[in-house]
Amino acid sequence: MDRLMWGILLLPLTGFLINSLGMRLSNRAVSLVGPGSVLLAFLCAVGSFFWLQGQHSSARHSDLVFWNWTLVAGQSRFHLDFGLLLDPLSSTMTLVITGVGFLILLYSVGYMHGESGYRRFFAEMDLFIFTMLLLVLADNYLWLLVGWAGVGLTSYLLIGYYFERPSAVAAARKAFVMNVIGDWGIMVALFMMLILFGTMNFSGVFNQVHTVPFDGRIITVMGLLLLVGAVAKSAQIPLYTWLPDAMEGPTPVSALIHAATMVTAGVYLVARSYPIYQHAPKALHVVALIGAVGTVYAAGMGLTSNDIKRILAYSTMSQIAYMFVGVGVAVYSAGMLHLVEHAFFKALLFMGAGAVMHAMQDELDIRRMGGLKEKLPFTHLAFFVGVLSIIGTPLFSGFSSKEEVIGSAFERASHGDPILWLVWGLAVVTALLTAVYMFRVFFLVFYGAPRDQHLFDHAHEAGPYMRVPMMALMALSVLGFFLAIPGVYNEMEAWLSPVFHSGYPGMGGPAIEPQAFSWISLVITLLVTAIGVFMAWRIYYRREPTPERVGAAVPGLYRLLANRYYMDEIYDAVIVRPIVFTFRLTSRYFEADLVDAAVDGTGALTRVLSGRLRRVQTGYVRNYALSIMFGAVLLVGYFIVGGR
Amino acid sequence: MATTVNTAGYPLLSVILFLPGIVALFVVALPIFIPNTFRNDLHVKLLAVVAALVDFGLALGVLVKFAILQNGAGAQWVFQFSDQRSWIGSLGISYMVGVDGVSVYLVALTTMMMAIAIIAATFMIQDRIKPFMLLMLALETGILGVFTSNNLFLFYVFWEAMLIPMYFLLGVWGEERRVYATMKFLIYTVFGSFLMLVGIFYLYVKAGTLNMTTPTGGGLLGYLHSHPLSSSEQILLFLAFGIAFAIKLPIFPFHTWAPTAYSESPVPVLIALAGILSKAGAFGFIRYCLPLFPQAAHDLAGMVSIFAIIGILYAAGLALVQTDIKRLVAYSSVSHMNLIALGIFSLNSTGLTGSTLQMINHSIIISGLFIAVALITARTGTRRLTEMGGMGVRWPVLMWVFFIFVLAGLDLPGLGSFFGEFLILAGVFRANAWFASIAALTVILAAWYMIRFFQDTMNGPVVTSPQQVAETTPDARHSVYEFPVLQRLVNADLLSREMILVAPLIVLTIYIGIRPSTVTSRISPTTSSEVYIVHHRAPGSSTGAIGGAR
Amino acid sequence: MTPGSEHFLILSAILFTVGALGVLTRRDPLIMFMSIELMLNAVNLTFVTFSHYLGSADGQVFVFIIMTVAAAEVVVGLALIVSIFQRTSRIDVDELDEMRG
Repeated sequence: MDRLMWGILLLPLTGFLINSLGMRLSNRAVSLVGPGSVLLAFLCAVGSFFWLQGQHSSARHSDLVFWNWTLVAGQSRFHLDFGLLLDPLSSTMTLVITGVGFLILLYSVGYMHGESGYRRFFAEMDLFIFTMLLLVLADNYLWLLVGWAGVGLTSYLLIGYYFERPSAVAAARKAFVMNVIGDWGIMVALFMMLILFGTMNFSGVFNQVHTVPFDGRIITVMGLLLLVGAVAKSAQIPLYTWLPDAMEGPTPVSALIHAATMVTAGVYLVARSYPIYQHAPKALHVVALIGAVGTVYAAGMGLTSNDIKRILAYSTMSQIAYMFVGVGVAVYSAGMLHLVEHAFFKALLFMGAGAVMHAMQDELDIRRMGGLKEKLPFTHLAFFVGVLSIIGTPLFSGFSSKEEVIGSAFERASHGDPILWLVWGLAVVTALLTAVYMFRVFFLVFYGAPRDQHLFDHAHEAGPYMRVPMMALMALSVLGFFLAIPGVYNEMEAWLSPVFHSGYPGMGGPAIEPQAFSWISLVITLLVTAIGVFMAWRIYYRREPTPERVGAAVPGLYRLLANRYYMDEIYDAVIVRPIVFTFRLTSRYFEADLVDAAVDGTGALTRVLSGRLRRVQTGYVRNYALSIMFGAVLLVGYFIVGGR
Repeated sequence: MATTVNTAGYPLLSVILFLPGIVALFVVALPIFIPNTFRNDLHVKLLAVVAALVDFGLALGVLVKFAILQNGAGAQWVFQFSDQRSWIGSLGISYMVGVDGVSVYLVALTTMMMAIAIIAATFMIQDRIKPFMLLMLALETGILGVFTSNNLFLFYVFWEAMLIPMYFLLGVWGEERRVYATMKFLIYTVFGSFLMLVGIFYLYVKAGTLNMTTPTGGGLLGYLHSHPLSSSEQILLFLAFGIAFAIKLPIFPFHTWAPTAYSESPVPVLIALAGILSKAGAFGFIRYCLPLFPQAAHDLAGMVSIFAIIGILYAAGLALVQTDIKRLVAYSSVSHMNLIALGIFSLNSTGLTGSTLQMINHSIIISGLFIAVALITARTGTRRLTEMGGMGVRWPVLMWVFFIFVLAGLDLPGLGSFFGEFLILAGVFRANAWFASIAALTVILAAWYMIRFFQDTMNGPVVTSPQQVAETTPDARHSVYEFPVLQRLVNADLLSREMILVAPLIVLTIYIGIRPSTVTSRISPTTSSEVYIVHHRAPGSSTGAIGGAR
Repeated sequence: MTPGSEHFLILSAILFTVGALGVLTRRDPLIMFMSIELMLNAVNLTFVTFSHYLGSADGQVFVFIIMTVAAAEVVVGLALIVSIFQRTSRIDVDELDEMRG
């Protein structure tokens, strides 16, 4: 068991070390080590999964402590037990990370073929997998933070993979700095834990949460600070602007990091910290509200964007917002279910987008595509499966998880939590918008007449390295449906129940019971989705009314959405520029003309004063002698007259 | 209260202390008796490197043999490897050296950094290498003296003595505005030291001894324990000592000498100046200001903390807008040093331990960054960010080495510097949650300016003009290296001798990131006993805004 | 009338005043030198007087020290004067004002 856990964590690290230090590795060796190490880690993850399944549900838990750190002895003791924690929650995450990670790395072998920096790509991807696994396997918040920053770092590196391209460099910088804002939040939350509980280990913190007042200010602040981290990492309002820009990275990176795994770490963090949030209902409400607003907000941007990867980025943001709704209404297993299923279909969609780009000579603008169905039948099918999943069609994976999330919100709202009606309403509206914007992409790319004949003529289907992973993910996107069938059974709920139902002492707030199923919510959502599909079909397939007319009907709204709510500009004008401007002024005037000038001024003053004083030095020996004499007389006089 | 023990059986620490200085004297004196020795620069270089490495080896021995004392609250403050000789007996001044858990690391760090600086000098300094090496060795003895002295007078002697070689190193081998920078540095620091000298006199008149502690628990600490100074005496003395330390550190607003001096120094001198000398200020606070004037430390902690927080954010913000990469690193150094000061004035053992750990990390990072600046400058012939770009295409190994230092500089979790920062802020949070939360904002600014620094040099479109300028104007003044070396470097990725400089730093920062507990286990017994002294000697101040009961 | 210690002190004071006036009024460094010697020896006389008067040898020790220092001073001083004379071929202290601030 211990070996399996070490294997999960260290195999990708080994892959990273081999690929990063092996200067003379051939591309073939690199493509063997990169995905191979992750495949082995995946096998370990599967092994540990079955080991966990074999345990009694109350014992599905393995904490492998290997370092006891006493950082500070004495009175303000600062002790940490470091270890790897394997429970159903982290096991789920490891399976997703290594499983989807392996498929995407395999896809990369085909996609990145012939790129300069091939070895660097796989080294960085392996490092990402390692840090992400560290994040989910850590049994304490400090190591979680180490992994948290590690994935931020690798995300930075991979966004800036084409580092001689200025837009990629700027996007990488933005992503990194925004993520560090989240690190700040987590760090301050950790300080609070240290003071309050004297530990940062999950079990230690959760066992003591009940010692602080329920729904009090302390615990709410702690929850909100953790949320700052989650929001920054998961690209939610207000720290989301980095995610669309992050599409500057290669498509496999977008698929793995900015869709399937890293950006969902925020959801994992909230789910993992559920005893804290259970104790702080206000903070949990904020989670749900940020999620609900985020779903619509991101979908709006997805409606008007013309960049195929950015549309997928907005849909990622919107889907993660769904996960936030799920955990925000305290049905953590629903959020986790959506996380897993989203990883399947969103990775598939990105792979499809990558295949389209591959065929279209890296063209991203959907207005220049069209009619690709006949050129790329396989990609068309894969993308279709992905679209059906994301909009929540029955028999596809997104259906079960999205219904769980929306239905849970409905149930919570109807059981005396009126704010959640708003959450539910927004989530349902987003179901419609999702159907519209996803089918918009689908129709514009694969149907209609080719809009760029030259690109169209040269389009060709991707090779086997890219197709095999897509097939696997298509299968998963369909099979994901059977993880849970609303109203029938919920495997995910049952699997995660040892985590979310065990309960820590004195756990307050609403009990985390399996949610009663709501037919009303299900029917409404399905209906709304169908309307959305119909609208997309009318506008983008039949073109009656044409998309241009729809846009012209609401020009203000259209402009707002097409310009991404002007948020980039607002942040730039309100935060970035003032800071730089202030410090530039400070550097030029305050530092140079005040602080430093005070120092130099002291020197200058001394020089002026001594300039006066130096006239005393006449250079005439007799003057000096006379003054010595005068001094001697004064001294003697002093002793004679009054020196006693 | 505080005791001294010698765990070596022979004066190992004195050997470490005087070895570099004696080697330097030897090189000066030998040609007088035997003409024509040390004519060859190569011999001097070799001797200096060997001396520095041997000293480092001995210091490592001390570090390894340093006993980790598991002790509870109010435990003894133990000085190990002590060596005491009478010196000016009638004035209560004795030669007394020893190390505690804080200074044992600073001694090891000094010897290591000086070895790296001397190795760097072998190929970075071209003219008058012999006096340069001698001054570096003399400087090493001066700095080691500061960290090992156990007698205030001896401390002061070394404190001043390390200025003399630094004055020449900066003034002779510096860059264009070296005279201005040197004078500023000198006058600033001397101003501080004179105030401290007055304080030392006062303490001597009062206590009749200047030994910090004796094997029997007497000395200055023992005296002040039984005869506490009045509150106003403490505050005046604290300021007299503290301003000297604050200047050296440098705490805002005493920092302006640093960017000037740093940007004019040659890199080997910078490793000593920014890497080690600045730690002497922080060390002074930990060793002298807190335990000698506990009441004043309590009363002034809030004020110093506020200045430190301003300094952290202010210097980080200025680093953000610098266009000269050496000044950028200089401001980042100031920002980090203010964080160390903040940790010290949390007045709890978490913060103090963090500050000590961060001193080690800061030394590694700042030396690494300044070396990187030298490597970049040697290849481009410029220090202006606007004239660089896309260097990673041409020199990938340099890029990755530089990147590791950049990450350490922005305190990436998982690297050594993160744990230092985390401990500091956790300690400060314990004392004052607002201070810590605001100071922690520096991680955002640090990420911003460090990534900007990295990207503007290494990433983006390739900018070629500066190095072409360097290729066509053989003017060594614009470069750290002489022109022939530069010519080679323009086409060469990291040379193996450059790798020798950075490799130990990288290994160390990763090691501390993985096992910080091995470092802190020696530090924390000392800091916790010091904190005990601070809190149990400061009557009626346990309810202060900062530095509460723990 | 045997001379008492007050006579010696008066003589010493007169000698000192003469020397001091010499230093202040003359411009020839050699004369100034002699005046300084006069002052030093006046002090020596005082020391010896008090030494005799108090029955202590301390004063006499100081006299020896002063004589030694004075001898050294003459050596250095004359060397200086010679070298200045070689350079300027005139000796006038009022012209030696290069050290004016």
